[in-house]
Amino acid sequence: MSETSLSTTPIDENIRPRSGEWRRSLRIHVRKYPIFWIGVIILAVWVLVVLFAPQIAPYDPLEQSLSDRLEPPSALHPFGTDELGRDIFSRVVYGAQISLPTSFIVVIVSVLVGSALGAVSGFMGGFVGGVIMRVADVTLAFPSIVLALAISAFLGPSLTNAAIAACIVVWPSYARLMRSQVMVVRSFDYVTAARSIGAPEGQILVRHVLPNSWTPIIVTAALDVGNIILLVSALSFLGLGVAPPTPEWGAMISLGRTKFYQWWLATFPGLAILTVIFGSNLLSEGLREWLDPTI
Amino acid sequence: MKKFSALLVILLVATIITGPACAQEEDVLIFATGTDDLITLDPGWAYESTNLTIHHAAYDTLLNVSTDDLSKIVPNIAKGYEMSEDGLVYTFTLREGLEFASGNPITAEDVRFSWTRLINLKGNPSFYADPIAAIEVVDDLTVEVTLKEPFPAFPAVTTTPAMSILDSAVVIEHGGTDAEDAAETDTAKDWLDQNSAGSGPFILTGWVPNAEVTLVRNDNYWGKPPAFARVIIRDVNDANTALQQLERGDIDITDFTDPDLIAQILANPDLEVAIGQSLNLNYLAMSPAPSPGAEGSEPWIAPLWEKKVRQAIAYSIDYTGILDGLLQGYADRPAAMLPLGVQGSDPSARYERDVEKAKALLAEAGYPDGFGGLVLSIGTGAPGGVPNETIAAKIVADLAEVGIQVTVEQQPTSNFLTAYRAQELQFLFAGWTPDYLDATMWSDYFSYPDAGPAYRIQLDSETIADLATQAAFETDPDTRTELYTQYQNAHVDEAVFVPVIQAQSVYAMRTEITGFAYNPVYFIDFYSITRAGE
Amino acid sequence: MLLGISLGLFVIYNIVQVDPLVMIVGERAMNNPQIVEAAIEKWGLDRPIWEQYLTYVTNLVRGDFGRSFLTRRPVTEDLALYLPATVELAITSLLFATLVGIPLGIVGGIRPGSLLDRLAWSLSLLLASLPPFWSGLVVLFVFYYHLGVAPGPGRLDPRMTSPPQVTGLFTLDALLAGDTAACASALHHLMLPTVILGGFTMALVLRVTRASIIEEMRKEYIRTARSKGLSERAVVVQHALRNVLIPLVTILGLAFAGLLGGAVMTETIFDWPGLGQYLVRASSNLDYPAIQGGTLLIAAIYILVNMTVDILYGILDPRVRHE
Repeated sequence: MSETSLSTTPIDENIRPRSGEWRRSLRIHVRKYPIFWIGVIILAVWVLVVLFAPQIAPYDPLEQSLSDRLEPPSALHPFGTDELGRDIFSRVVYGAQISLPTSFIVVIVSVLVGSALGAVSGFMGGFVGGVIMRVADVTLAFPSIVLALAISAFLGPSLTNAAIAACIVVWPSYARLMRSQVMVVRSFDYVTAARSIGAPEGQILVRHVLPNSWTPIIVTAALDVGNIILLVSALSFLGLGVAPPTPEWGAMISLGRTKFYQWWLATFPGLAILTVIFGSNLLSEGLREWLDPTI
Repeated sequence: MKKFSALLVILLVATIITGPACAQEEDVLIFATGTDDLITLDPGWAYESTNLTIHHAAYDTLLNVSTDDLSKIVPNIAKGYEMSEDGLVYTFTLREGLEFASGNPITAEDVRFSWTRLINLKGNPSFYADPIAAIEVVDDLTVEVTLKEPFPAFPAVTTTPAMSILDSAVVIEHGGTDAEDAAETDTAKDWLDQNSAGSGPFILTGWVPNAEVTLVRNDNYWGKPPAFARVIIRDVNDANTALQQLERGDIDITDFTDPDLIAQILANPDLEVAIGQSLNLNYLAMSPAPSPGAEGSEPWIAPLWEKKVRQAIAYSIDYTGILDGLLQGYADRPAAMLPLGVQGSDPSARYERDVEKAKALLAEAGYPDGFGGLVLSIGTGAPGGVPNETIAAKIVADLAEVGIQVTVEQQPTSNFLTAYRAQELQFLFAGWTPDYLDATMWSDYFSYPDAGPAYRIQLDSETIADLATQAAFETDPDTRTELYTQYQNAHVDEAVFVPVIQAQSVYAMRTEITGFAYNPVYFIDFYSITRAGE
Repeated sequence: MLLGISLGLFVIYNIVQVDPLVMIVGERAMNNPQIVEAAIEKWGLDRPIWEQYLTYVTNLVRGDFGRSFLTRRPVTEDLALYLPATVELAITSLLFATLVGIPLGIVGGIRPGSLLDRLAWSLSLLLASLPPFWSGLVVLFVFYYHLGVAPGPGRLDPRMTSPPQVTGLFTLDALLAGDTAACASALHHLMLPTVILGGFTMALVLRVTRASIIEEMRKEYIRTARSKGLSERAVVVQHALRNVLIPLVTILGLAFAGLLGGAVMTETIFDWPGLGQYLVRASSNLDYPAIQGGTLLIAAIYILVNMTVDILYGILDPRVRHE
């Protein structure tokens, strides 16, 4: 799908070297799908922040200094300092190391588990398939935050448990997506033919189902990166997430909210969450535009 | 028609955006606080915190604690009491001619009914009446209470709102009973949740959980009439919203504060702050036992069973930083679990930060480089407006300086308490709130290996237990004070319970509110408050 | 289906093994064996776990969710008390989402790529990206505290007493009681939380409307209508909009159920005494019957709304019935 949109553009092949050709098609792609690229850039910046946190952060995020507490933003502390005199900029930067990897891991696990279960359900049908889809339906009947709240309350507050709660909440949508793809593909003549000549189910899955189903899954996954960051930070905000003194955005907002004269305490971690979710929304919309032009 | 609906929409949108023009009616006092602890407003069942304020407004106790001197017991609807030589029999004499809000006279029978009902309901606050063996009505105005054993703190216990005197006729009318089986047969709770049957300056007229409690003036009150026609207690979640509402004049008074906001409140000419000496303690507890209480438990990693290690930790905490930095000076701390202001409490014996000494003690105990594997357990809460999370982060940093590596484990308070009660916690930060103001309120719970937090942390010290018993039953005030000071010092040496914060109660209010007086048991007395300049 | 989830929650609860006693009795009264015993008997804590679950399910079928450990009241009563506040907020949020989202979606869908379209689209996406527990704080700080143009948290002016409960919706109850000031105050107080809660749904509605309008406008019958000389407005209103309704109804039905649950964070920030706050409190206190009751209620509403949507769908789109 993507190849078609790229290759139909006229290329002056005689003069341009191959790298230039690549750059040019990229430029055209950027012009055609700006939303996608803005999303990519926002998230890429955050990924760089995660990778180079120690280089970017001017201070240790845990280092306290009561004599410098609640300093407003300045050249020394670009985002100010918090109630224990910790540098908020550094805490926001290190906070990315908590939120983003958690979110990525949850998405990857949910995609793998969800689509595996969905595929199993689609192929096998019968009792097992029915049970899997029932469980998925039940889970989807709960608004995610309510279910996550209940689960992490029962499991006890910690980052791991918040991530587990997020996985439990998120996997069913992938199971459903995958199952519907499998059902569609199964009805295709060539698959029926492949089955009748005794091709193993696994082979059919890899050869025919996966190539067709990755588009909706990747679009949903991009959106979920932001959703999970929201979910985990909401749990932390309510005191059901990350343990102190770990710098986590939701917890930072929660602790900063009573000090509304010191607006910088809650503002910057909030902006961090906002930009990540915004980036993930843009990426998802852009991917949809690019990969699935029917919508 | 089309134009009409368009007009309607515009009007609607306009009201939504501008809000209603509010007509100012009778004088209402709005107090914003967290009411989410309220479970019931029946004095025989309620055992929370906000209900104490409400019960104090709607009911009377026989005696009161003096607002000026908290160690003094003063008459209320009882003129006074007499104690027999052996300390077993207390005789209370009621004032003459007093009436409940209903118009019924207050009699000795009401006292007997109220306390017998409290005992027989077997509810959470029933233990206040535990010392009572028998209650006898001598005449209309005299009641004689016999105790199971001498209990010098009894007059103080009668001031707690659970021991309030209820209008027996009204309570019985609504299904109340003082019979042995009252726990099953008494059905007055539902009515008492929404109404009151007392003689206090206000009458409870409604409670919407998580939203509001409404009190109206008791025109039948035996003292001078209260200043406010209505008092509304509004439920608020946090200091953030409470203070914004206060600054905007939507509410009159709140007990939600954040120490860092007080300076800003003081800078606002429309607002002022009142400080109350609270007796709530927040303490660090360190188990002297090598492993959790359950049999066959794995031993803990961190060597807190060494007394010197516990003392080293006590020396490492930056108390000044916590009290003056985080709490902005709106807090103090005693030496042991006897708050400042309580008999025998002497702050001169308390731990001060001394990193060198802490390191030396660690070295003596055999840990010159410190150790790791220590878990600090906390629940949810915010002593003095500073969240537990922040205090825990501070303690982690302080202990890191002497080489002790700590991780924090935060749980919902109910889980935290469950684990604490099961003797599963080695190192924790928790709080203790009194119900009445006698030293036994602390020494009964922090001393004996089979009771209260002492049991939970596995404290088993004969010295402490002996001193606690001696002091509790000592009737001579001076000797009692002396014994309690000794008791406190034994605690300091043991370093199992180390109080960190005795936060002041900070109330923020509009400047036109006058007559506010803080009480450590019922906190706020609406009766004494007036609005100036009306 | 609901039984399944109740079993799941029950199992987790018993694995975690929290002792509800301390929550019921209070910390200090734990020392009095008489009180403890009375509480154990009253709450049936001495019975085996399977028996407790069986009792629970039997009661569940009768519409009895048990008693909340925290409020000591029947969970059903609690839910009845807190649900209306949430429903009121969800309704206004849905109204906001449709009244703003659909027109913007139509405008954008008719002229995709226009400045207005891009502006509306990106704004809605931004609104959908706001973490409510943060944006709620921000709007309260700016519009209530600083500018004083919006009312503060809560459902009503603090000096007013709640109207007598009939429906539990303050706006309606106040009108029924003839108290127009209270009604206006209730509406006024709904403003900020509605925008915060409805923002996400608004973006969703906008995007769905826009996408379906674009799709419809490409179709043959629209071109025919246009060629007949119908005005652009007539084309959209009479033809395109009808077909846009079908996906919208589906979305809105699900969104309403989602709003009930999504209100958790908004209610916490705006001191809104609704189901969301109730669940947050129950969760942070491990009030197991309350968590289960509240979660089940929301799921039940979700299922109910889903069924209604299916029926509506059939009415709107006759093709579905034939399949």
